[in-house]
Amino acid sequence: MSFADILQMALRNLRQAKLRATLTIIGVVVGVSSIVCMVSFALGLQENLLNQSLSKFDIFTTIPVSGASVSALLEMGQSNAQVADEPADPTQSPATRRDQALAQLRRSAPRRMLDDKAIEEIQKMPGVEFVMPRIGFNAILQYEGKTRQLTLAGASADLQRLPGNRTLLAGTTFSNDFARELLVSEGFARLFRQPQGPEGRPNEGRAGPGAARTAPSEAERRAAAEKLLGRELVLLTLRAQELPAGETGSLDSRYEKHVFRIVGVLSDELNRGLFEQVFSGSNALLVPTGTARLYRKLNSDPLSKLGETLMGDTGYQAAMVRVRSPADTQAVYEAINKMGLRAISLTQQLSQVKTVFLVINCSLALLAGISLFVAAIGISNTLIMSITERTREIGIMKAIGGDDRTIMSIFFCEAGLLGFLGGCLGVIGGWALDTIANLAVNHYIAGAGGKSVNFFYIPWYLWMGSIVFAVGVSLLAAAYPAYRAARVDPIKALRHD
Amino acid sequence: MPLLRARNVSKIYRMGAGTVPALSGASVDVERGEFVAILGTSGSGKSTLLNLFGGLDRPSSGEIVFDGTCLEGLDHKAMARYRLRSIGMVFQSFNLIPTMSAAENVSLALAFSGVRRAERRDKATHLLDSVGLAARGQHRPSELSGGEQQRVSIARALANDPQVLLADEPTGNLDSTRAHEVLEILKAQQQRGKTIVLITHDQELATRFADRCVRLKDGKLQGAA
Repeated sequence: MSFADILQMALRNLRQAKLRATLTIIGVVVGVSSIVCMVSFALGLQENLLNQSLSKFDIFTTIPVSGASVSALLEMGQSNAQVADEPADPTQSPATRRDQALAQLRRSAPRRMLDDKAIEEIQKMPGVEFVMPRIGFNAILQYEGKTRQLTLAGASADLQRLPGNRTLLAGTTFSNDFARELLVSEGFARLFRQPQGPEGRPNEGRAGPGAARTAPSEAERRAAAEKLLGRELVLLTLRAQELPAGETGSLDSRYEKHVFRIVGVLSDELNRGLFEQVFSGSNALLVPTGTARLYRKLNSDPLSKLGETLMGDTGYQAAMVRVRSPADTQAVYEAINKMGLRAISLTQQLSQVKTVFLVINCSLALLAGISLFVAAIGISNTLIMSITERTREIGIMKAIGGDDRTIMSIFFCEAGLLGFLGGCLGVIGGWALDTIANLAVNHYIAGAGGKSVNFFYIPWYLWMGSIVFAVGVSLLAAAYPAYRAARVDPIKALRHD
Repeated sequence: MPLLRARNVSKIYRMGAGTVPALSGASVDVERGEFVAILGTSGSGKSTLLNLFGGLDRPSSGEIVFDGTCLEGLDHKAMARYRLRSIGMVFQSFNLIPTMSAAENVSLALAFSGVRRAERRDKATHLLDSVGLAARGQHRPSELSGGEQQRVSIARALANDPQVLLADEPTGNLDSTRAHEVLEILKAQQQRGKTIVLITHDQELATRFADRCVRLKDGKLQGAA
């Protein structure tokens, strides 16, 4: 008997006892709906926390990358006999053995330079949104008559690529990659304040111990930010040409002044880009990447200059890789490490969090599974009733040549149909319940002035899995009735009324 | 070699603590193309013997041989195959599936042997036509008379072109005219080469249609050759 025939027969049998089949299906619908509801709630929680909220913190989507240090590059260059003026020591001294052991250790450290080629390679990896090399340098800056040594960093003109995903409070982004323009943090002025005296006396009156400090409002922050726009900072660099011997010249003639103008003020929200803050330090002062490259070179220390002279290029200190979704992090992290660079990622911790969610999901599914178990008993009961009613029919089928397997198949098919219909309707029911609950909760949230949130998440694998699970449980429930049907004695069955 | 053979067959039923012998050492040979009537009073074991021939039951001792093969050696699956391909059964109470139409009842036997749907439909129509019910194919058993139901049952028994037709009191629920009609159909099947085993308690019908009559008495066959 073909599967189509068996299916047709099973459908015919179910149609004959419509009410009973309907009640049995309702049992499955309740079971599947509760599974879908509970698991979708847990998945929604996971989705909201991990993929929506935490991804804003960049923790799981940002991968700090570092390349080989200048010393490592020099060492590698030496081993490749690129630096020919230092002959290799032919004798095996204890010091050489120690060096070998160190070299062994260093194999785990980055072996590759983080140059434009490496950046380009990372950029091409699937899942990578962008790569921002970190071009940081120290500089002496003057602002409102005060002079400080501060760290500046290069940043893209594309606001989406700003470190930490920060937003502009006022102003615009850089006009071009080589402009002498600055993006500053709203609290950047603090960098130029006088440090507190040894007596603990605050130099600025407003931070007095008794003064209650309330957080400024958004409008106040914007107003303060607006005031910073257009202000100028002066970056000092040493003059490249030494003065002729014997000439001391004035102090001013020994350095050059470069005027930078503040074009944008960035929000100082710390909850964003937390991971980047930790790895790339303060991003209070940003200049265009081209400008950063230039001043980094101008202001680099003699040792770095010597390293670059020997190596040609020493690459970037570090880079930030942003991936599109947390799901891409692990693969990109592994690929970068494989390149010989060193990447840092919290995916291990993420997978632990995911394990916790898996446990929650499983517990909820198990709880909801109880109702599906009850439904399975209902299916068993329905089929056993059906066997009792159809004993004679089973006897007839056997007398005219129906084998045990065919008869079992008919019953399994009936159970499968009950499970499938119940599963499909259950998924629809679960989705409907989710939608109603979501609407109700969001109505309440909207009343309280909150943002609407989607509390439930039904991915394809949940609804598909629920249907497959319902069919599986139904088939399991049919095992005994089907076996019993196949074992019906045809002679007794033919006498059965 | 006889097509169907019972050799010293006994069948004992357990009834509570005791046992009831239905057949005790019955032997009979049915030749190919023969129409054999087995006569006997109620409870003489006629139906038991037919169930053994039909592969619905197994003897307590002795053996049933079909075309040289002992049925004892067949497993569940082979026995079902034997019922499907080698024999066709006709029952006193017709045993049609009440929820299916006449044509569907005939088709079911064809479906078990894997005949395709379109072919099944044609074959069922042809079979119903051969028993004079071409116009009644879509009727359910409850909408048919006893004689018609029995003719559907014969059409179903013939579906897979078996060598033997086993009829257990096929005229038991019919008036004499309908009984004659049914037996005429069976006789016609014999003329087409089928072997017929008819169980009946009607001496007159048996002698009129069968080539040979054997009588069951006290679980043994008399006049068996």
